[in-house]
Amino acid sequence: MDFNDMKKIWDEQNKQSLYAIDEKALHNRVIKKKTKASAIASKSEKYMIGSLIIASLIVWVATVYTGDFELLPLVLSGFMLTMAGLLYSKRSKRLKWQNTFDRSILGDLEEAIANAEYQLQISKLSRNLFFVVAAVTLFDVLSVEEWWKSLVTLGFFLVVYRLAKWEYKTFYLSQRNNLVGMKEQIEKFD
Amino acid sequence: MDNQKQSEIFREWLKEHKGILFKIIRVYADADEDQEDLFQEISLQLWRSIPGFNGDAKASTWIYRVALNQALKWTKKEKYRSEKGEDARQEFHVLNQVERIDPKLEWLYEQIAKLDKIERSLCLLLFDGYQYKEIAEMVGISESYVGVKLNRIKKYLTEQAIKNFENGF
Repeated sequence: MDFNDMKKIWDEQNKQSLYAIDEKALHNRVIKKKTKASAIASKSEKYMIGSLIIASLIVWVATVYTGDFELLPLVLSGFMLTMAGLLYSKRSKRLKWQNTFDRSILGDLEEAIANAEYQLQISKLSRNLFFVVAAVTLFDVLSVEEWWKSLVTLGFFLVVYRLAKWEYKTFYLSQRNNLVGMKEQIEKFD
Repeated sequence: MDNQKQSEIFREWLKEHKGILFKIIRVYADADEDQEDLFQEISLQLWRSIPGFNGDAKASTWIYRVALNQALKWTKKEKYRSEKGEDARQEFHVLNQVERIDPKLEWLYEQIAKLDKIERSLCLLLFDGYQYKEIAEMVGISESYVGVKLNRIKKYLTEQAIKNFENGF
């Protein structure tokens, strides 16, 4: 067999299709991604609600224990409890709307994207909450006499803020972008 | 360019030239999961490239250029992944290879896959009838170097074919 024979063999393949798209497998993959997006959102909600309630309770317990009723920690505690309630309400709404999508490939993919978008909102909200908590804490801690204490607290909040941004970009934004890219591809193949 | 126009072009390209993508993924990725991953990356890149296509070159040439470039990038990424021990494989296989009945073609793909990643590009382009000058432009190496490389590839493939024929193919 010389090179020209190989070329003939090569050209023959143009008459046949080498691959076929398995729709059932594609749907299974979409369902897997949908479940994952929903689980991530659910976990985030639970962690946030739990930590807000615990932090709020700690402030209350500390206040009652020391008998030192200062306004600022109590306002902060009330704010955290309100946010926990707001998150719980958002979660209930999400659980309702996530069952309203149709069970086609695109419907399931749209549900996954909606959950991924929701996760982005939650992540942004947690960063905004973090700002409030950081601001109140710094206001309480900042002093010229104990400048090192202020510096360590500020440093801690800056590191946590950077980590939160990294988490947002690396996990949640890329998850949403991958799902949107997948949807675009599927729509093009239709 | 609006989204609808872009979609129309993409559909048209896939309909007319999907063979190019399949040949490339077959040559650059071995396992089913890898072929699928590469196919997704190439088609996404192709979609993104549409606004940059001004019609100076033939659509097939443009598709080859974009797809080969993406395949080379993917190979690099895959090498990095496997070196780090990461497994990018997916559980469900969306792209199923249709049973290929011609063992000679199967053999040919195996031989091409044994070449290095640039030689694989050169070989695909040669088999699909591109001139040395076009290949040089697409791959980004000199025309004379393309000539040298392709002569070696032709010699290698012919030697392998003789060996296989002697063994009863």
